[in-house]
Amino acid sequence: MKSGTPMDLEITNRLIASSEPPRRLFRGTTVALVGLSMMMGALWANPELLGSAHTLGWLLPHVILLLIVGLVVGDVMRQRRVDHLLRETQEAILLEDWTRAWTVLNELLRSPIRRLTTRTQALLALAAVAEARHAFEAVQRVCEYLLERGLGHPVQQHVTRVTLGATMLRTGQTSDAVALIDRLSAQNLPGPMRAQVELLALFREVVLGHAHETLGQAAERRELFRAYLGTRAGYGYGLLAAAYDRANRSEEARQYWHDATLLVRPQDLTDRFAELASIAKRYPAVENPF
Amino acid sequence: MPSKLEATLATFRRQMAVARAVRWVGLIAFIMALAAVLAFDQADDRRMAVAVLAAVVVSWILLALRSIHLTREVQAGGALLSIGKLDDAEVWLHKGMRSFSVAVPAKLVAGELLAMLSLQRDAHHDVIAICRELLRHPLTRVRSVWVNTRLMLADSLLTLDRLPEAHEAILPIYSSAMPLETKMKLLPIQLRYELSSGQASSSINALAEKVRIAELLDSPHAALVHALLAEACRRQGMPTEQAFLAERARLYHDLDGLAARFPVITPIAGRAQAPAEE
Repeated sequence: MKSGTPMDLEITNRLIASSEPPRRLFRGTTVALVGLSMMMGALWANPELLGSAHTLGWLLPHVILLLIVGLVVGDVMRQRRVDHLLRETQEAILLEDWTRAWTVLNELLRSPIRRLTTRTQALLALAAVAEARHAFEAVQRVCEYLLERGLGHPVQQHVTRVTLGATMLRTGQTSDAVALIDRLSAQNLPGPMRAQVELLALFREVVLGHAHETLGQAAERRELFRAYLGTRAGYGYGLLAAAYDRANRSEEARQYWHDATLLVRPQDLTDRFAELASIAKRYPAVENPF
Repeated sequence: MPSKLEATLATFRRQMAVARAVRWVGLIAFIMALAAVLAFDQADDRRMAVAVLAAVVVSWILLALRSIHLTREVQAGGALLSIGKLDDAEVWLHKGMRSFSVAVPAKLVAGELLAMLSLQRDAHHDVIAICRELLRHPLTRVRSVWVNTRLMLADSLLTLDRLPEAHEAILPIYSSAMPLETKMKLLPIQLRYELSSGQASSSINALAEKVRIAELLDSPHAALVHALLAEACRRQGMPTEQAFLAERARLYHDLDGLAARFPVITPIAGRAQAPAEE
């Protein structure tokens, strides 16, 4: 388990609740437009309003105008802050700086996020951090929340399902995981999404101990991982090494483990997939000079 | 007779000037109408000023709606580009650059996507023309467009072997702190420039950090950067690092295909199958 602040279900629930946008009928810019229309309507009806001898009559339109400007500026500033924090989170996740990602996410999710795709992205980042910390209950909570509410665009929903599938395998909810992965596998998906699903399906087979039965798909899977997963293809090669090892084909297993450790350090492979610990002991890893 | 692209760029330049003028005129008209409402004594005069104010606001709302329409067209072009439907994307993006709108960022993004499309087609002269046109306009509020435009310009200039101009294109990017995303996009361009101009020693500076960034790229780019770093190590006499990077590059992607596009990695593509020879 990676170092950092402990992450539990209660904190996750709190962050989900605090980031929920208020169910208001009008947003800042709508209020601004309504305010401006009302002010102009009032001025049209009574042009004396601004020149009124009464202080209130003079003050009111100016206050409304200032409020409108304040609302618009406030909206823009808030959106910029959210975008900045999300960018910082994603950068920390890419660099696997989980402590920094967790700190920034806490700041990002403690107040409401109005744009739905942005909030979904932030919650998926929360799931990624939780997964890295092996806080699988928290991952499941986030994924189920996103799917129940139907949040995010189709690609985000796909990522959510893949993450949930992997989490359920890790928490022993095997039949649900199998059903979910079967549904994902049956879809006609573009290459990058197919590669993620195949990695998940391979993980399922390794966990359930029948990966050696699907070695016929190994070459096709290898090509998908290579084409679309970048460095993360290393995790796929590691799982293929486990599959070949189980089939007692140690030469292929050795070659796949070589390729896996050429891309990803053995420690990272076993951190993510504990099932690879025995493979790491059996086959030599590539020495990384960096 | 000007080409389709030249016509589009000429229209784009004209409309960008008009859009800027309309924005200023709108702002000035709003302030003046508001001042008039406050300044006039007669009720009829005030009512007239309120009518002008309302007309300005309504016009602005209509222009904003048109901008939303244009933004959607540009997004459609971007989506078609991302799934490889280049001809369809081109139609939408030309339209986006030629349509009038006060949404200057949306028009700039249309230009950026059109340059990206031309780069995918290896139409490097078109990329240079589009990027140079985009850089004529202030891009401070759309920094990502500014960065991408400079990178695409440098990419095409490097491909055409115009090294000093490529260097000039990327130099301003270094003037401020770079987010990780920019570092990831810049690294292959920077390495190609350094190796083409015989500065392999610069390429191996902070080698571990560069490898770390390369690991975050998609497969073809990760392969390219690893091959470029391997070539730098080859030139600098670092066989262990060269062998590791070349083997990794091969694992990421087919190097022969990449070497045809980027001849600077040919020595690595040729040797990748036999790293022990190094």
